[in-house]
Amino acid sequence: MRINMYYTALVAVSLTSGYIVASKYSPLWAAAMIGAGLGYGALSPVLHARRLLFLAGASPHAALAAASIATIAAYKFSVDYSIASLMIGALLIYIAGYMNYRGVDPDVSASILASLSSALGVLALYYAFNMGVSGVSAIIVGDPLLASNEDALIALGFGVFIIFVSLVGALEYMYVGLDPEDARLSGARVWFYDLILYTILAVATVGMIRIVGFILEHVLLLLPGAIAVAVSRGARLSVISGGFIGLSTSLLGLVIGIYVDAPPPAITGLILVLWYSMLWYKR
Amino acid sequence: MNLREENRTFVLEVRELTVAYNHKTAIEDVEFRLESPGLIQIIGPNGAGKTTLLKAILGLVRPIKGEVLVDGLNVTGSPGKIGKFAGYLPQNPHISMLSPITVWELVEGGLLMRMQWPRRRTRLVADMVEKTLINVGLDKALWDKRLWELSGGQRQRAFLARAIVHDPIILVLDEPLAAVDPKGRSEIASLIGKLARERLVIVAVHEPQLLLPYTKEIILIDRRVVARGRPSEVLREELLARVYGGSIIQGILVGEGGAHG
Repeated sequence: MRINMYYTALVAVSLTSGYIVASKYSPLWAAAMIGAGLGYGALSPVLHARRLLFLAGASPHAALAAASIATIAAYKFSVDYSIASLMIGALLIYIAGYMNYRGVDPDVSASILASLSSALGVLALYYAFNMGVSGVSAIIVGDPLLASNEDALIALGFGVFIIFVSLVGALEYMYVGLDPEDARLSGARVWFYDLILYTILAVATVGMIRIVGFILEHVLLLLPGAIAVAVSRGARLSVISGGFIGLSTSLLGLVIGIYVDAPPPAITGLILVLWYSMLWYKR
Repeated sequence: MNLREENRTFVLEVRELTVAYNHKTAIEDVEFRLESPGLIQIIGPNGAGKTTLLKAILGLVRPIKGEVLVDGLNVTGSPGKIGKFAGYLPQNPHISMLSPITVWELVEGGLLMRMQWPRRRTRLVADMVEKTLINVGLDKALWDKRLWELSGGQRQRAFLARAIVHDPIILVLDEPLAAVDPKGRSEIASLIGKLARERLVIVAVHEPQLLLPYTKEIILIDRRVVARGRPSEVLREELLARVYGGSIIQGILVGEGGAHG
């Protein structure tokens, strides 16, 4: 009964906020935040259960580097920004994944990813600012209100894709995280599940960085999962729960952000931190 | 080879098995031949290589020398090969509070992960999971609990259920009685004894007494095989003193009389 009330509340907040944004402002803004909230929220419990939180924390750095380099490449060489950033971001995350596969401690590989990405990102941002490339600040701060039609639809598509992939393989990803030795004994291709996970992490962080921003990506990748695994039981239920938490807080953050004239991603981040703090206090 | 279908005696052979971590030898030239069914206890002091030996048998660590054969099938360093017909209970399974996996999902996962994609949660799967959970004595009220919500003993039963749900012919248990209260220990010991009637059960333990009534053979190791044989042949004071030192062997010898060796 308590669980049903909990989901009912999340759905009610999501529907109300989504309706306000779509009807009073722009359906595009709502679409962008629905995609980002669903995608990050659903992925977050999987990252928790797979014990890849440090990698999750490092991946926005990879996304920042990828987006900055791709922005310069698009400006100078007219390459497609989306494809270039996804390829660079995925490559950086795959490097960390390959190190894990070769037996390097996941925390160490995530540290290397964070260091390498930060260095590349700062370099790329320095040149981008000097060259006067536009749109760089959105990568860092993120703003759904500045999302183009294309950005909004891509975010929505990514969100649906990520929640689908997370749901289909929820038990497998989490089982590998719980007991990697038995997963190997079972004959399952652990590397294959990890490859899928690294890919959707790249898609989530690189694909939506312009809407959510580098800073809030950390919050949205980490906190919905922390809340979801505390309030729900079971692999799939925690993914659904994470998706709803991401969705409802993203939309609510957008509505409040518009009303109080503040950046919506920042409001979403504060709501999530407040929610987790209350949960922690109640324990 | 389909070992599962042919409900017959098979042989697990370990030949010159040597494992090293960072150039330091953990086990060296370990050799034995075990016939199914039966319960085999592996004993030895801390650092003797018990866990390494179990993992090497299962292919979870790759030996630098030697091989593991199941009825002639070479399974050395191939967990996916031996895991189809082997179950494993790890020592002190680490449970993160970040995992939402429930008891039911753990046991179901042990079965589903061994099935071909697409894995379907059929009625048969549910029946097997339910039967196994009842078999290990886990109350129905616990099936929907997350693993970190269980006590040490309940968790051990849950992982034991996961190890046996696919009806393996080889069961490898690393300290199955650790973190279990006295009543639970004798219940789990009795369950392990029952399981050993129809499969090969290899158990690494510090205190062999509780499992003695069901034990066919004990292997005493200290990086190498020091002694092996029936409990009465291995649990001898002078032999144990050589490996453990004099002060603690009384604890190991207690209950030796219960051996059916």
